[in-house]
Amino acid sequence: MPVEERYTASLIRSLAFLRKELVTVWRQPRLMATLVLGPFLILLLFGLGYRATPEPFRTLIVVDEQDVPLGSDITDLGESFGAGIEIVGQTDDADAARRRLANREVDLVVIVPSGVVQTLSGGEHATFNVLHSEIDPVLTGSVHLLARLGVDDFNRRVLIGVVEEAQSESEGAEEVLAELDDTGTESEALARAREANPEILVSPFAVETSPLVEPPSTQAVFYAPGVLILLVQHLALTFAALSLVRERELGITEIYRTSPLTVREILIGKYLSFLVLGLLLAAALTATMLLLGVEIQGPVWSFTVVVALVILASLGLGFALSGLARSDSQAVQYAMVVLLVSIFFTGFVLPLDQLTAPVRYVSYLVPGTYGIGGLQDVVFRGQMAEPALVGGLVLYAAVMAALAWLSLRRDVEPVRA
Amino acid sequence: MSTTYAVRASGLTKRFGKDAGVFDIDLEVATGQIVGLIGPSGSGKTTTVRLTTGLLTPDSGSVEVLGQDPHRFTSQTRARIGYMAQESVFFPELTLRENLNFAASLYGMSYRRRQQIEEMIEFLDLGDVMDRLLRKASGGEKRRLSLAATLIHDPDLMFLDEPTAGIDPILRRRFWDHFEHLSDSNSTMIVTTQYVGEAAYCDFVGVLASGRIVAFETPEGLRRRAFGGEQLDVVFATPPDHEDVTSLSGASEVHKLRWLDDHTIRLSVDDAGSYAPTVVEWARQRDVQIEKTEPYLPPYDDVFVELVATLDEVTERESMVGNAG
Repeated sequence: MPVEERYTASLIRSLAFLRKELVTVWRQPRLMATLVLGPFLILLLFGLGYRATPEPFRTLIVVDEQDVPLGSDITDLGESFGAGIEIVGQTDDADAARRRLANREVDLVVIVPSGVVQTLSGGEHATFNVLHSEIDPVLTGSVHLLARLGVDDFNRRVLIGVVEEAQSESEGAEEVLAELDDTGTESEALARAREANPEILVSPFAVETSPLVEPPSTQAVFYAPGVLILLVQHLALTFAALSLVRERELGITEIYRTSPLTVREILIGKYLSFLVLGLLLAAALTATMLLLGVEIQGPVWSFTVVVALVILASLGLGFALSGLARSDSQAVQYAMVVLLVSIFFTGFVLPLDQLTAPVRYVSYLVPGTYGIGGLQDVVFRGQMAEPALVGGLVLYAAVMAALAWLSLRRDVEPVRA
Repeated sequence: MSTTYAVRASGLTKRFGKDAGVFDIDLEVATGQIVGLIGPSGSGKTTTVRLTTGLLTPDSGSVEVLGQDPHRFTSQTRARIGYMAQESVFFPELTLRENLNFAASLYGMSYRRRQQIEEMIEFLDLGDVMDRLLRKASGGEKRRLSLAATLIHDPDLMFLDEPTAGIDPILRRRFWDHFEHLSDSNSTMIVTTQYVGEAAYCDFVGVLASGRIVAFETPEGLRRRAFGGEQLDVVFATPPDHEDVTSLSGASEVHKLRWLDDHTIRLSVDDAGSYAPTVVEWARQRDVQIEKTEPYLPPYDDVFVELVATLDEVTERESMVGNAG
């Protein structure tokens, strides 16, 4: 057979899969709904329902009303703790407050120290006691942070009050000092101190954070590229694995083995089919993202390259996993395991830096890790995806294609020369 | 002119566990022949086909198909082969037409595909159902699709594993007519079947039992082998004397004599045509009136039963000898 005829025949064989796979997927709307719409709706529901700002802690203040420290009142205390708490009442009965905490009627009980002046005079801290009943480590951490920041602010307020009092009590002292000091230096210094802003005197240093690039406006916007990558990865992987497992179950691989079809032609056909499907899904998800207010600040071609590479890498992973699955349901289970790993290890929920070194290597076993990092670069930082991530995806896709080839060869060309 | 063989197998053995499999299969299929493999379920027909297509690797023995070891087939050689699996193996979510198109694409067919497909549809009487999803098709329609997919690229050599299973008798007849037509065009076919009567359509028939080929003959040769020769029925005008008639079995040409009723006997002879006048002469000498003599062609079901029964007897005898030893 002439070479050009051989190539034409090879192309026809590969393209046969493109049509077959697209029609097969189109004719299974329920499968599409389960695999694509299901996870998408769950994540959308989570995104819509998730509150970035937690509910304030319902707080009960325990204070001896006969002994309010340094003249401050309960309003000062509430302001010091800020929006993190909501003061629901005040009492002088500590035991009753503990009982309400135990009954989950309140979230925090703040016991204001009594005998503050005496304690301070004795050279000791007057300690606020903050009681809580949280078991969630994140919330427990929040309580500790809130308490520390609240007391720092309360200390600052007390100091401001002290300075203001000292300034007002020093009125007229300049004249006395001027008579004693011919140079007038000390009286001028006192005048400056009296006129100075007490807040600046107490807190001379401040801090401001300035992001180099505009951070995402909401949590939903921040998670959007991650959702896109995880859904595209999940779809590509599942369809790739199911496609080969189903063909094996149907017995069609026997027909492949007795026909002139090669593993290379099957893989080209299948990669092409599912790349088209994956890109269609990615386009739909990107359109949704844009409608939700996400702005792609970097080059669109870089965005497209990252998505396409994630699809190719995920397809390879799916084809390779199909070699381990003996049935449809096993293939779906493997896909769900990869999705679960992806949620925790790709930087989708937690930053990768928070994973210890050996565990972090797990992250690089799923394409989503490279894809989420790459898309965040493009979408939020306005840059091209980091070359290391793109290179990682290319390498990953190549390794998976090789594994897929080996796995499929076992089915289709087990003993061919 | 020397014979060219499409398939040659020698001592082909494939074991599944202790007793299952096929053993010492010798097979020679000349180009243009139709060879039928007949045997009960589990006799090794499908395994033999799978060994010759390269789908299974033999434990021992050798096989050559179109001049090549099946495990070293080139793409060009595979393009000359058609294989129809025992089960329908196409895609349930595609229509019959889409499946057939896919099968044609596997052989790189492009421009002539449409015409071939239409011809296949007409031949297999699939016109009304071609746009039906395969999952909604009947068993017979699925078999017909599988056959169409096997024949679509005009292969030189076809392995057809039970192509007529679940097909009505009229269409079965049409299948075999088509196979004979393909054979006339020098195509070679190895066909397995459980319909023993289909042996009549084959050039050669291999009878399989317990993983072995117990007979490999022309259909006529198979009959002779099963019954020890040709069958000749002799119908007497009046019931003859049994003792007198039984003396016929002493003749050297008569291998077996069986009474069918008190008027009729069936003789196994080397050549029914030439022995009939001898019987007539024998009757004349004894003043016995014969109403008619006619050769009897036993149906292949009977041939098959006879062959398997003979094999069972031999096996039993061998086993007894073995135990005694």
